[in-house]
Amino acid sequence: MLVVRRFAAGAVIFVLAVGLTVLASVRFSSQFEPAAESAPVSGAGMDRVTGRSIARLQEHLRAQPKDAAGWAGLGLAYVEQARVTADPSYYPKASAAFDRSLRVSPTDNEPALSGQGALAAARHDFTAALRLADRALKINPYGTRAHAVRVDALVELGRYEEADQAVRHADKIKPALPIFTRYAYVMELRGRPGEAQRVLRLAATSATDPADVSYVHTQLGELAWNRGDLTTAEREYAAALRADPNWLPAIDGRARVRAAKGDAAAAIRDRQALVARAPLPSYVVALGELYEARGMQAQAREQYGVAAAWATLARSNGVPTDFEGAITAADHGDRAAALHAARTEWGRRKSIHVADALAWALHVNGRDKEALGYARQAARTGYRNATFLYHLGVIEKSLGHKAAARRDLKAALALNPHFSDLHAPQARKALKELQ
Amino acid sequence: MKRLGASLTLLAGLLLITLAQPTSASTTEASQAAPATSAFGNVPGAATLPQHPLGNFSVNRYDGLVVAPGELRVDHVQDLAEIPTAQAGPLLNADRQGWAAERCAEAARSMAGTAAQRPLTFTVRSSVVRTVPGQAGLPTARLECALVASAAEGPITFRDTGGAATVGWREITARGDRMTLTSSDVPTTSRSARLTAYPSDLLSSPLSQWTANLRVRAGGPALGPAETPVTEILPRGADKPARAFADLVANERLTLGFAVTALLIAIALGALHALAPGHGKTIMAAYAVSQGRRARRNILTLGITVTLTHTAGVLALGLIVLSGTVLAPGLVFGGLGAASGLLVAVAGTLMLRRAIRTFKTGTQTHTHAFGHAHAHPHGHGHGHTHSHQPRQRSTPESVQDSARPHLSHTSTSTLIRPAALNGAPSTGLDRRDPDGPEHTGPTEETHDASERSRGAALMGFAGGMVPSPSAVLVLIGAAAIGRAWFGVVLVLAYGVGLALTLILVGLFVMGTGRALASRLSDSSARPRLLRRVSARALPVATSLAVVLLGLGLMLRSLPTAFG
Repeated sequence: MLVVRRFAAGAVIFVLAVGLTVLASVRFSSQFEPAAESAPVSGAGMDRVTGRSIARLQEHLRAQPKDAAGWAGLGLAYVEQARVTADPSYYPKASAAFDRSLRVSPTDNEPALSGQGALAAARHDFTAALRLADRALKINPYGTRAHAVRVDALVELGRYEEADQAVRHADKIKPALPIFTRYAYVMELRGRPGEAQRVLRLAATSATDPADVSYVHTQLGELAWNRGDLTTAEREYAAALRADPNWLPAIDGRARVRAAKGDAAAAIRDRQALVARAPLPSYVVALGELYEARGMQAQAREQYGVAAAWATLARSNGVPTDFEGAITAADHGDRAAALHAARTEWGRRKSIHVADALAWALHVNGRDKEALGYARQAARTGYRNATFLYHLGVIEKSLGHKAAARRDLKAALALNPHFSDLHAPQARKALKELQ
Repeated sequence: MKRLGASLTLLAGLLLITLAQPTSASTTEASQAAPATSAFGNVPGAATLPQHPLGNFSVNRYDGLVVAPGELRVDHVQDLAEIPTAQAGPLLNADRQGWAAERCAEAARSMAGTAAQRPLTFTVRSSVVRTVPGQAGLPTARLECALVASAAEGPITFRDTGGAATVGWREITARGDRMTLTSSDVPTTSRSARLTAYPSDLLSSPLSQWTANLRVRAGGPALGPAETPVTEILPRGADKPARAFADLVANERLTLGFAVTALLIAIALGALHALAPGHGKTIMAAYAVSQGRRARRNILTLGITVTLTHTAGVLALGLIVLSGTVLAPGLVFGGLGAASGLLVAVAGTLMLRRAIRTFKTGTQTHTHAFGHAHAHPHGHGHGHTHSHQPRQRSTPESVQDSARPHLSHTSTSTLIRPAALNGAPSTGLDRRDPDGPEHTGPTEETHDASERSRGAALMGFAGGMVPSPSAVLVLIGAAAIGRAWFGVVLVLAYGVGLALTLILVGLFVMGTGRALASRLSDSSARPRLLRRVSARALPVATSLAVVLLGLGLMLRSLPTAFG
C-alpha cells in the first residue's frame, strides 16, 4: 500500500515535469511549420536571353543531375550573366556549377575546364585562366572558348607577342566571332587601329545575336572614340544600343560622346541611369568627374563617396572587383591605397594598363621619377591612348622635361580632345603653362 | 526489501527525469531552430547577415499584398545592398525619416493596379528605414513602407514597376484578411522571409515577380497581426497569443482598466513562458532549491534572479532592436542558450565537487563512532528531521539509526530534484542544530549558506537568461507607439509571472517532498550498506547528470549560434 502511494506521488511529479514540457513543445512546434516552397521563377534584373537559358538549364539539371555538360553550361551561363549585368555575385554560383560538372565527369571535361578558365579571367586571375585554357586545349585543340580565354589571359598578363601568335593560330584553325573581336583588340593594342577596325567590321557583318552585335559595335565605337572621331563613335554606340538597349558599355560610350559634344544634361542623364543600373566604380567616378567638370562639387563628392565604398569592399574581399575603377579613384580617393593596389597588381601582371595605372598612382603620390619609367612602359607596344599620353605628359612636366611634356600633352589632345571630362581641360591648362 | 524496492523505484525515476530533461531541451531547441529555418531561409548559412543574392549593388523589392474588405494593403520592403546605400548615403544620413518617406512615396507612385477594373491609388501610411551592417562594415539599408489603396470588391491586378532598371530580387505575395483569395498567381508566403534570407542553391535564380493577379470573394478568417519589422530578428517563439497581445498593446487606448488587464495578461504569459520548452532547467532549479531549511529564501532568491535577469535581457535586446542594429537571431538566442547551458554546467560542477567531497567525508567518518558528518550527504531541511536529531546524538548506534529516515529522504528529494545542489542542505542541518556536539564554525556556516543562495542565483540567472521573444515583441510594440515605459512595466510583469511559476513549482515540490519524506521515515530496518552507498552515490550521480545536461544544452545551442 505504502509502495503504491509512494509510487503514485513520484509518478505525479514525473508526469507533471515531462508532460508539461512535451505539451509545450508540441504546442510551439505546431506553429513553426516551414513555409511551403514555391516554385522558383527565373530572372530578376537578368538579361532576358541568358535568364531564359539559365532557367531551362536549371530545370534540365533538376531532372538530370548527372549531366556534366549541362552543369558546365549552367556555369558558363552564370559567367555570361555576370558579364552582362556586371554583377559579380554570379561568380560563386558559376564556380560551384563547374565543380559539380567536374565531379560528375572528372576526366576530359573540356567544357568545365574552359568554363573555369573564363571564370578565372572574369575574376582577374589571369594566370589560372591561362593554365586552365591550356589544359582544355590539350583535350580539345579546337575549343573556341578555350582559345578566347587563352588570348584574353595573355593580353591581360602583358604578354602581347604570345597573344598575337595565339590569336592568329586560333583564327587559322577555328575562325569564330569571339576570336575576331580578340584579334581586333590585340591589333589595337599593338598600335594598328586600322587593322583592328577592318577585322571588327568583318565581325559586325557576321554577328547575328543581339548581344554579339552590340558588343562588336561598341568595340568599333571605342576605336573611333580613341582617335577622337566623335561622329563615328556616336554612330557605332547607337548601333550597339539598337541591338541591345541595355548594353552598359554602349551607354557609357554614348555619355562620353554627348559630354564631348557639349550636351552635358544628356550626358548626366545617361550617367545617372548607368549608376542607377550598375554603380560600378568606373561609372560612379565618371559621373563624379562629369559633375566636377560642371562645377557641381557636392554631387561629385557623393559619387566619390560611393567609389570609396567600392574601395572598402574591394579591400575586404582581397580582390579588386574593378581594378581600373579603383585606380581611377587615385584622383579622388585614398592615394596611398591606390598606389598599393597598383603595385600589387603590377606584381601579378605587367600589362600596359597596369603600367599606366601604376605610373599615375606614383605621380599622385609625388614620386614622379619612379612614375616616368612605368608611364613609358605603358607606351611600349605602340598603343596610342590619349589618357596614357596625358599621364606621361603630366609626369614629364612635373620632372621639368618641358619639351617632352609639351609633345605628349599635345599628342594626347590631338588624338582625342575629349578624352576626359575632367582631365582634358587640365591637359590644355598644363600645355598653356608650358608655353 | 520494501525499502530497497522504493530506492530502486526512486533511482529509476531520477534517471528517467534526467534523461527526459535533455530530450525536452532538445525539443525546445528544435522548435526554436525550426522557426529560424523557416524565417531565415531555406539555406544553411543564411541565418547570418542578409546576403544580397545579386551582389553589392542590388536593390531588392518585396510587396506583400493583403486584400481586406474595401482596401488593398501593401507591405512594401526594399533591401538596399552596400553600394545603393552608399549612393543614398548623404540624403539618408541627413534626414532618415524624410528619406524613407520620400522613397516610400516614390514606391507608391511606381505601383499600378486595378480592382474591379477601377485603377488603384496607393498612399503611404507609414515609412521606416534602418541600416544594417553589411560587408566590410559598410551599412546596408532596409526600407519598409505600409501602403494602402481603397479597392472595390472584384478581381485585382497589381504591378510594381519601381526600380525597373536596378538589379535585384523582386517578390510579391498575396493573402486575404477577412477575404478569401479564390485564385492567385503569387504565393502566400515570402520565399525570402521578406528579404531577410535569399536561397542561394545552384538551381535557383533570383525571383522576378513583377505582377500579381488575384480573384477574391468576401469572407474568410481575419489575418493575424501584421508582421512588424522587429519580428524578423526574433525567433518565431513569439506565438499567436503573444503576438495578439503585442498588437493589443500597440492599438488599445491606455486606460487604467486596460493597463491592469495588460499587466495580468503579461504575468500570465510570463508564467506560461516558464512552462514552455527551454525552462525545464528552470523548473529543475526550482526543485533544487526546494531543499534545505532555507528553502523559502532560496526560492525567493531564484525568483528575483530570474525576474531581474529576464527583464534585463529583454530590455537589452529591445534596445539593440530599436537602435536599428540587426543581429543574427541565431547568434543572440543560440549564444544565450549556450551561456545558459554553461551556467547550468558550472552549477552542476559545483554540486559535483561538493557531492564528491561529501562522499569521501562520509566514507572516512563512517568509522568514527560519532559519525556526524556521515549524516551530511543526506538531504535534510525538512522540519521533521529535527525531532530525530537530539535523540540520535546520545549514542553512536542511534546515529546510525538516524541515517534511515535521512537516506530515504535523500532518495526522495533526489527524485524530485535532479538538479539539486546536493551538498548544501546537509550542512544546513549542522548550522541549525544548537545541541550538536561537533558544531561547525560560524565561518563555514556563512560560507555554506552563501554558497547555497549563490547556487540558486546561478540557476535563476541561467533560467532568466534567454529572453522570451513575446516579451521583446511587447516591449517594442509599446515603444513603437511611444509607450516604452509601459512596455518596460509589462516586461517586468513577464518576469514576475516567470518567477511566480517557478516559485509555485518549487513550493509544490517542497510540499510533496515533505509529505513523501515523512511517509518514508516511518519505515525501518533496511540493509545498511546499500543505503549508505546509494545515499552517498546518488548526489554524485545527480550532480553529474546536471553537468551533462548543462553541457548538452550548451552544445545544442552552439550550432544555432554559429550556424
